[in-house]
Amino acid sequence: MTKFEKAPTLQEIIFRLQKYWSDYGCVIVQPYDHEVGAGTFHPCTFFGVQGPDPWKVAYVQPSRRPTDGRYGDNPNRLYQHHQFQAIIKPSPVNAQEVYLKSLEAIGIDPRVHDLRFEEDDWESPTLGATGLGWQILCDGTEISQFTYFQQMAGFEMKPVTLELTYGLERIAAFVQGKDHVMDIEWTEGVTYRDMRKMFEYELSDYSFSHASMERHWQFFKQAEAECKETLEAKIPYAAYEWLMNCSHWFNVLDARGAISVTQRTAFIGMIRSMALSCAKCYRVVKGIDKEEK
Amino acid sequence: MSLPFFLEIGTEELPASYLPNYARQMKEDLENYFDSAMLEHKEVKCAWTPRRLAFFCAELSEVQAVKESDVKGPPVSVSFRDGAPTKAAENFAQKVNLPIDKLGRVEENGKEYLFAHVKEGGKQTIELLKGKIPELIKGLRSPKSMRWDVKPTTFARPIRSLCCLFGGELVDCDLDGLKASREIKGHRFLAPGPFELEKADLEEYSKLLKDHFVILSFEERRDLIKEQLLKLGCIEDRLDEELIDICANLTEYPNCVKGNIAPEYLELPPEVLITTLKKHQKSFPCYDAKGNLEASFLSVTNNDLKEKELIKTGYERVISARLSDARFFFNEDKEVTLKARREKLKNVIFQKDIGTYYAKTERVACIATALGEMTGTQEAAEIASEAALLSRSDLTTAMVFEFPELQGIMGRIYAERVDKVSRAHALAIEEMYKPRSAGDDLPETLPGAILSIADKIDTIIGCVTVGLAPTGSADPYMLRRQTFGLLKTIIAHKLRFKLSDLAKVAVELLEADSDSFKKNIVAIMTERMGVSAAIQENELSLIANSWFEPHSDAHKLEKQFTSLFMGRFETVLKEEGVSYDIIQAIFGSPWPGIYVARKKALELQEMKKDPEFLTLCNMLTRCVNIAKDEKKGTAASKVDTALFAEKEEKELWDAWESARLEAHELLENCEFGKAVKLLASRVAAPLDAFFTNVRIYADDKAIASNRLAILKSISDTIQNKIADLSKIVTA
Repeated sequence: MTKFEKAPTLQEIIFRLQKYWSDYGCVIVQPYDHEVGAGTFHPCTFFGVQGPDPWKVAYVQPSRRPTDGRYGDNPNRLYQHHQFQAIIKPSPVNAQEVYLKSLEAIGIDPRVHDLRFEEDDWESPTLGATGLGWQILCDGTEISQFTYFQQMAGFEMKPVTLELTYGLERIAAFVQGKDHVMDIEWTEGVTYRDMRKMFEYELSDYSFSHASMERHWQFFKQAEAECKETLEAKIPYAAYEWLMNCSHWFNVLDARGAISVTQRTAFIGMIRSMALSCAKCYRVVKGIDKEEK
Repeated sequence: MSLPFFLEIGTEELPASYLPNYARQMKEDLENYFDSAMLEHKEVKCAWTPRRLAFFCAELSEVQAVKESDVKGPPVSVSFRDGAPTKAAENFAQKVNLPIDKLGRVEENGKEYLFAHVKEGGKQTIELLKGKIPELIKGLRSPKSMRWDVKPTTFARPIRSLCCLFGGELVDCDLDGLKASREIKGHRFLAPGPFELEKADLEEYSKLLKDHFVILSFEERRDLIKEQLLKLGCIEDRLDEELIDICANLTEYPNCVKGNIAPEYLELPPEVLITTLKKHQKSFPCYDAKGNLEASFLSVTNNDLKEKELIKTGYERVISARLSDARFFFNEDKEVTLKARREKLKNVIFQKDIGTYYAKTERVACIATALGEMTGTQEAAEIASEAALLSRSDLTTAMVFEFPELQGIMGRIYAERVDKVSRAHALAIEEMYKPRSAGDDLPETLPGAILSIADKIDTIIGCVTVGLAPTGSADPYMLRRQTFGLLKTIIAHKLRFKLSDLAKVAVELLEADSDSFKKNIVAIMTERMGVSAAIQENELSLIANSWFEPHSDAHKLEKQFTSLFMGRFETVLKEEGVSYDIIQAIFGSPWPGIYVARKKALELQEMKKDPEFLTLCNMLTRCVNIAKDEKKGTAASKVDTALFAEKEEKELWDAWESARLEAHELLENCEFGKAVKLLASRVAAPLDAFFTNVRIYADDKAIASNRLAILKSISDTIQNKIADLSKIVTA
């Protein structure tokens, strides 16, 4: 982009990323229709990274973090933000170059900005996942997360999968030069505020003040039981949906301040154990591993 | 003949903190390999940027040295059975790399052995390097490493290129499918290249890199950053060297950009502003000539700044958002006093077996009061004790949650601004944490020192009690450092008391606490259980059990505690130049407390320059040895002047009696140097004369016992009141 070209709108950024990664060879899939805390939960990533077969997908994933809710007031924290993810297995030799080209596609010219790859070791205790890579900083703002998955659901990644996560709101605010997320131009004549403010306010209010702790404990407990039983039927996709629910309800309880330090460890342990079981079951059904006798 | 050697490992951006270690490890590995492979070489130089580790050796022998040697094998008698070679013969042949029929014989002491003349080495270096370089790279270790793509290699980040040259020739090595080439990459964006390196030439390499916007030398990058920072608004004595080093390891072409901060953010406490800039954005605050913060910052970019305004605006926007967050936290935090926050500390665990911060601060307040009684500093101790009950409350603030390194500092700020306590109270809250690291300042105010000592002794006793005493390199609660800080604080504030007395207070408080703590935990957990059906019962009991591990027995505790303190005390003394023998001498006499022991050690160390003192030490060693040798005679219980037979013994006794009385007064005032000097000047000479001219073991047993009693009186008194001078090395 030259300096004089108009900065892309939020939806234009999504179109361009989809086009770029589609041209690269990724299957463009749709957001998963469950509440998740991050794009990594999308089954296309959680299950897709398992096993030796090549795999390339890209998608937008709305991600909910109840504790980050700020009633739509904070300039960059949101109850729900949008991630764009590209998943490439195996990670390509020119991974960094491919990523940088995608930035050019959305109007960020790395030559004129201060673009940096700064060490960031990623870990998701709930998914039993680890990865090494960087946060990508553009003039000091974090715009992406670049991760070479080493482990998912306790399984070593062979080969290694590359996960690229674009924080869409951050990027839009950056290229459009907006100080507040609500001022982002969604499409011409429509702001982020028009589309999201009321939702942000209500869901923040709900998570911090109204969500019934009693019922969420029950939801969690029942979902965990459902997940376990479903796994017995060897249908991992179905079981995994209950894990996503558990994870979200745990986050709601957390936002309500209902979880103590020791309980947190126990909860994370429970979700991880579900994740491990789901992945294990998937690998058997897919024929990646033999069933343990 | 030798040739220059060059290796570049081209990587994706390596973590800044790994770089120097990686480079030094590989340099050593290369040198060790060259030595072990009998390749003559000059020193291996190393250099690094975030995207490369480079090694250069100006002269490396082209051919391996040849080593010839004669090797004796097993006796011929066991080497063949029925004409066929045995396992012994085969092993030997394999070892010397010769067929069995080429092995010679040698006779030694009438016995015949297999024998071989072995020639080792002589290989072409370039051939050796081919196999060895990939092996050495794979052998490098880092705190965390990863795999990538479909490769089996592990490294901190993916290795994407290898350039290995010997003279002008390419060393054709292969790292799990990555082939070495002459290709070198330039700056990722400004001049990516790649370009080719014709021969192993450090200067040429470095120059070509510079043409491609890469400054190879870390030192050069660091100095460049420093120079620009100073030019643009940092001041010399506020330069953060550690952060500069990090920035130099994050960039290949550092260039600083200056941005502005809205002046209203200067209303934030300076520590908050500085920490926000440094920790979140690795940026530097600017100061005016007087050292006051200015409304601007400096960020180190990896760019040539052709579009300076663009980058500056970006940094300003993100830093402004960070400061706006910090201000939000600060204003929110100010709504609640530290006093009111204290309740929340009941839910903040200090250590799972010791208990909450709430309980800890209560104990610390009591310890501070006790310390005041012991040292006659009740007034300061009262402030310390009150401050203890406001300390740690800042753990519940948003600011400390965001910046853990600001704990204590925020405590001081909120105590002063929100709780409106006195300056002395506020300072004590901050100084409690001091010294935070090895070179950090000690608490300056007396209440701060008392609070710091009380808090540290509680931590140390608590951790040792639950089995967290440091072992080897494992010291998760940094007890050694805390002990060290504790001792230095006691010394700096001239506090005279017995640490073991204070430790006793701490142990008692902890024991009283641990009972109520157990009850509390059960109550809290049952309450949670009521709400949380999700936590399994067995999990609960598992967690509960871990709280109730039995404490170690008292004797073991005391030993661990003593060894921890004595070990650190030795280090304190050594740092001050006290030699080992003096330390031993001090430890050989009844323990007078930290402050007095140190004073004694320093004064004795000074006395070691005095020849009379050394004579006295020698004499005392003789006294001690004679007293030990009870077979030859035992000392009388008291010296009887009527039994004196020689003038030397009378003179010695008179000299000792008068010197002892004078020395006693000096010792009362802890004037050890003067006391020892007095004794040395008055007693050393008569003692020497006594040893020279008097036969101690006189035929008359009564006289002999009396003489031994003189010696015993002298050596016991000195050993008990001053130190075991016989431990001092006089040679």
